[in-house]
Amino acid sequence: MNSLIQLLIDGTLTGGVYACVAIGLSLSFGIMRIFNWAQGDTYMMAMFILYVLIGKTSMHPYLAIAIMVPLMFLYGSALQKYVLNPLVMRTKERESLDVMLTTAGVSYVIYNLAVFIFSSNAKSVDTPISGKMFNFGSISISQGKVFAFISILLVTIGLEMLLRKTEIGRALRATSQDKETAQLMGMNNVKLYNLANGLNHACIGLAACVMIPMYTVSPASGQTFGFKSLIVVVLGGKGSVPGALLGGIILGLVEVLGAYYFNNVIAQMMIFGLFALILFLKPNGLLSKEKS
Amino acid sequence: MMKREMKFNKGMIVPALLLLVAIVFPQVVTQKYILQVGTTMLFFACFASAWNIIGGYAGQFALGNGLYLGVGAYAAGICYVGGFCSPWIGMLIGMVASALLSAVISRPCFRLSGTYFSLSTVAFLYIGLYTVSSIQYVGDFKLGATMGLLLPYSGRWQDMQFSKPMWFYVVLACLVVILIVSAWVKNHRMGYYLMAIGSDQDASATTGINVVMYKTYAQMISAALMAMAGSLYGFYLLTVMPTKVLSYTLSLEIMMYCVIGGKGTLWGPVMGAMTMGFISEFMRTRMGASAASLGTVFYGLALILVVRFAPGGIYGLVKMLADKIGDKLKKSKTKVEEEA
Repeated sequence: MNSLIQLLIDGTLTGGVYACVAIGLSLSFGIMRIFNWAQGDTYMMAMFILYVLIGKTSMHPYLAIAIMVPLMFLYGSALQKYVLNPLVMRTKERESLDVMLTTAGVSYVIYNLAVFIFSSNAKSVDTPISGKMFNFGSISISQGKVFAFISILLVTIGLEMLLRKTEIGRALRATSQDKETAQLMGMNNVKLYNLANGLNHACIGLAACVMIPMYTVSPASGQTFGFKSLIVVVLGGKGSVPGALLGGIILGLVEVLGAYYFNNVIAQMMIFGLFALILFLKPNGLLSKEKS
Repeated sequence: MMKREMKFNKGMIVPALLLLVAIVFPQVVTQKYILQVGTTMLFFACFASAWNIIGGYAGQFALGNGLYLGVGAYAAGICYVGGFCSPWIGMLIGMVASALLSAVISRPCFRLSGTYFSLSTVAFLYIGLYTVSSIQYVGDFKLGATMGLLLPYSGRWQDMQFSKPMWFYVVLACLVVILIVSAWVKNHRMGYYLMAIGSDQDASATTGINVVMYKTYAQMISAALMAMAGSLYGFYLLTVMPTKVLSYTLSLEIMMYCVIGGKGTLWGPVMGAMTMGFISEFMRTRMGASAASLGTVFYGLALILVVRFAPGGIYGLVKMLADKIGDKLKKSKTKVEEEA
């Protein structure tokens, strides 16, 4: 029984970790219909920036949040403003193929730059949190994962409040439903999109800070997290911030339980199988407001 | 069907010349390394042109189509290693299997649009990758999981093995076949329907085109061609492993070559593969092996730039240039006639 509880806790916490990387994607995909194929690789880039930062200054990763979040926000909104917006604005369709191609190109650039600069081996950073566990009897929980889970809860609540209770939030939601009408009502789509992408990247920056104590950094990790992110978003429903958390937890549970009762590879297959199932049965996700 | 006679003749000159150059190339250039580079570029031209049928003509971004490359490679490889039949028969089996598999897989995928469609095809690619990566043995036959199949060297053409110069010709022949099929699709009714679907699916549905049927045909043809080239690719490498023939990165690269070269055109994918392959090799030889990654950074940048500034790709740019030169020539010709 104890081991089941341990597994459930591990799965939920791991899921929280995946949700950290994916939550911004839910926002950006929901609002702008832009699927950022570079989500995972951008997360990897943020991890490498942190790696260099912590390596040079021995800063505590949670302190680095104050640097990473604004930095990534600026990068995200600049990327949107100069590279993506011109493409979004020139298409009449809901989803721009050009944007998809561009973000795929960005992911490719980031990945290969990382390989070029840092080579392919995994690197780890020593932090005060690394390896520390909370122990309750026979159950041990990684401290880093707990803090990551707390942070994703806070981010989820924060983003939901932003979207539901503020003017800007309403504008974001309006433009996600109908960008032309929103524009007619006086909203500045361009600035809203910059904000949305900035928020996405800020979340990625935060995720990197809370994850670096637990994970090694390598160029290939971008791809893994990238795919897990998209699975999380599809599971939870695009545009649904709490959905991202739920999707993450489901993913984490399937992965941990699948690995324990079968093996790692079967667990991965189960994840993709679940993903395909949701894509075909409920493409709008479990918590989405849209009708399938 | 209207036969476009004049265009047909003029359009044949440049490709015929290129074919001539390609045929002569291995006779003139004998350094193994350059032949290797050239062959690899030809392979990518094959893959990109095959993908173009579904991704370019029909406008469906089936990013997971690299799956069929793997199917082809494994089919031929299994037939050879297991001694079941000639790898050439294996290749045919792979092509048929890919066509059928793509039809089955695409049915549910086509119900989705845009990003979700692409994601669903990628999901199947990954399912294939993970499945094959985890199977060591099928009965008595060793599939090899992540290590894959090691193809015993024999050097005989019956075993789909050739010398380095011969490989160049074999892949060239494969490319010619793919281009002929591609041209056929493009210039016949199916091609027109696919282009209509690609540019506005809903509008073309209202004109009575059976959208799903044609998209499925395009997928089947694309998958079969991909498998054909994939079989050869596996034997060229003499190993068939999941990370080489069922790779998402490879699928992404194939898409990039196609788009950078000019998707939806006959020659675009070939030009994309050749130019990018050439640049990447150039950077690698000039700047050392580590610069190989830098060369691939260049692909990503090229894709971003092409999408933003030159949506017709390299082919579009070349065509624009050729048209401009043609216009200038015409103007000077009329000027001369006027003065005469």
